[in-house]
Amino acid sequence: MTSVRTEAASPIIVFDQVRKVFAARRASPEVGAVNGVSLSVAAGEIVGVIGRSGAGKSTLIRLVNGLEKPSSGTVTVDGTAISALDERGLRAARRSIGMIFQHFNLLSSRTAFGNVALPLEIAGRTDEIRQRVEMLLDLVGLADKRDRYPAELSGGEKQRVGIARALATAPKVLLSDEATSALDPETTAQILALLKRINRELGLTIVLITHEMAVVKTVADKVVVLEAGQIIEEGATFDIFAHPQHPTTRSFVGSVTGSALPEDIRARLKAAPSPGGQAVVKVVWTGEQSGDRALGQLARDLSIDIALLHGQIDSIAGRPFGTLTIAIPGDDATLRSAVETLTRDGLHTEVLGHVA
Amino acid sequence: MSPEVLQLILSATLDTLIMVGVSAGLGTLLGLPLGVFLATSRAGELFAAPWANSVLGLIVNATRSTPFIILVVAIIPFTRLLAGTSIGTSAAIVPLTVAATPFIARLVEAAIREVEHGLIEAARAMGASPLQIVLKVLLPEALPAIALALTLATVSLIGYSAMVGAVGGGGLGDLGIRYGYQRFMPDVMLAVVVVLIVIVQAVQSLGDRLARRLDKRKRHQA
Repeated sequence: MTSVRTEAASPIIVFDQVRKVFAARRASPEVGAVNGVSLSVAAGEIVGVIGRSGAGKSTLIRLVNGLEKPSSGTVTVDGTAISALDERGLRAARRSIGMIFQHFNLLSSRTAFGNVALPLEIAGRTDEIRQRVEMLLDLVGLADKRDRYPAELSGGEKQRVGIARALATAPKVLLSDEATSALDPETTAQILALLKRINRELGLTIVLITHEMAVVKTVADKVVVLEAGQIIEEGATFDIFAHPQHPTTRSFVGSVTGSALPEDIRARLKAAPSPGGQAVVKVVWTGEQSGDRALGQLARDLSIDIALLHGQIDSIAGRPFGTLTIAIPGDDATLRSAVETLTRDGLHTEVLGHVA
Repeated sequence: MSPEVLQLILSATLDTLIMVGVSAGLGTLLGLPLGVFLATSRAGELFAAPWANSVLGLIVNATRSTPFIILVVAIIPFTRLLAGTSIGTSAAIVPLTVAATPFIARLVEAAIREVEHGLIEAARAMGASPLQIVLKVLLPEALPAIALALTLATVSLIGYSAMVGAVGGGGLGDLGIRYGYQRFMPDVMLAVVVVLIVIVQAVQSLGDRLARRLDKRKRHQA
């Protein structure tokens, strides 16, 4: 559903062959932080950019609002070539691009109200301050904390102020730089829910960078996997989770979907079957099928005992998603017919190996 | 202590307060923008001008490393040019200001450099100009530290003002040297020292209290 909507919308952010190289410094050679990235983000979409630290995520997101200038290539936001603007033009463009940060970056000398008012003061829109700031604090659920200083707020509340501040000048794009990385899981979930709501209610396009796959899983419509400054994989969130291609993506996905095999099983895994042993099979099902029922049916049909080794049933981008690792006893023929049956039922199977 | 001596102490105290007050004020007026510039003009910073930064830094260091008593004597022609004389309270304000300005500039620079870099980035991301960043982010955020810096500078000026007494600058230092030391009047010397201690205490606790009131960082979560 989401992917249909995003494909129909026109792109609001376009990266065309963007490279960003940081100049060499004494001992260290030139560093290519972003190496030829082409990317397009549809209006109203939430895109999660995931990568390990040093993959170039921070540079990538800073290229969107011109905090970094590309060494080559162009970055276009809402029809404006950001990469071609001078400082004055950039300042104007940045008012339609909000940004939130891992460490919130709130002014300790200003109250929640004062912090949210700052972008409006900077933009010279002082007459709107009272009305807009109150509306925004209400939107993020902090109407009662308007006169509190950041030091008096919890991490989650600080990030809410950060979000309200980022929305002050009514931007079309919101950039989130590891905005939940300093928060506990519960607060993270609340902040992500807030971002999702803002995306829906205001039609805001959100680009969020993170190293946590769980963050992407909850909110993103689309995932971009970054490694060594290059996009190694991108696609609809559900597809990336269901069928990750690149090893890095697989390990990211494995960290949250339970598709990574526990160590004790992996240690016993052999490539060749042994007599009287069992085959270890990973079964993945998505959306429409019901994997647990199919497995029950399989056990009855083939009269075998299927052992459940490991797994997780989850929801990704709002659709059910299951990963189970099972052990199927018997010879090659049993295994083959089991795999055939499961595939016919629409489940994705992968024989990982054999255990004695 | 005779009424005449008391009168002397009173007017010397007033002179000291005027010298310190005016030179601290002028020093702040000159040192604050200088400090802001020093803190924001290295390569890659808001008002990047590495050359001007180095030159000003050098001048500041040179002034700061000159012993104050030598500075007072060395700039007598300059003092005469500005104050018309090189003796007395208003003349003393010139070397005091010259000494205070680079001192305050360095303290302000340090205070501004303490402001978290993320705040500058956030302000840039909002589309703030360098001047707006200084006025709306750096100075307000550094204000508690600047208040403490100015307190420190004022206390140092009180000490310096006593030194200008040695070259006829007027004020409590002058009184202490002429009466307390040269005429050997220990009670006058003691009175001068006590008054100076009281002034320093008052300035310090006033500055501390102001800085605490300005600092919103250490409040406990409500």
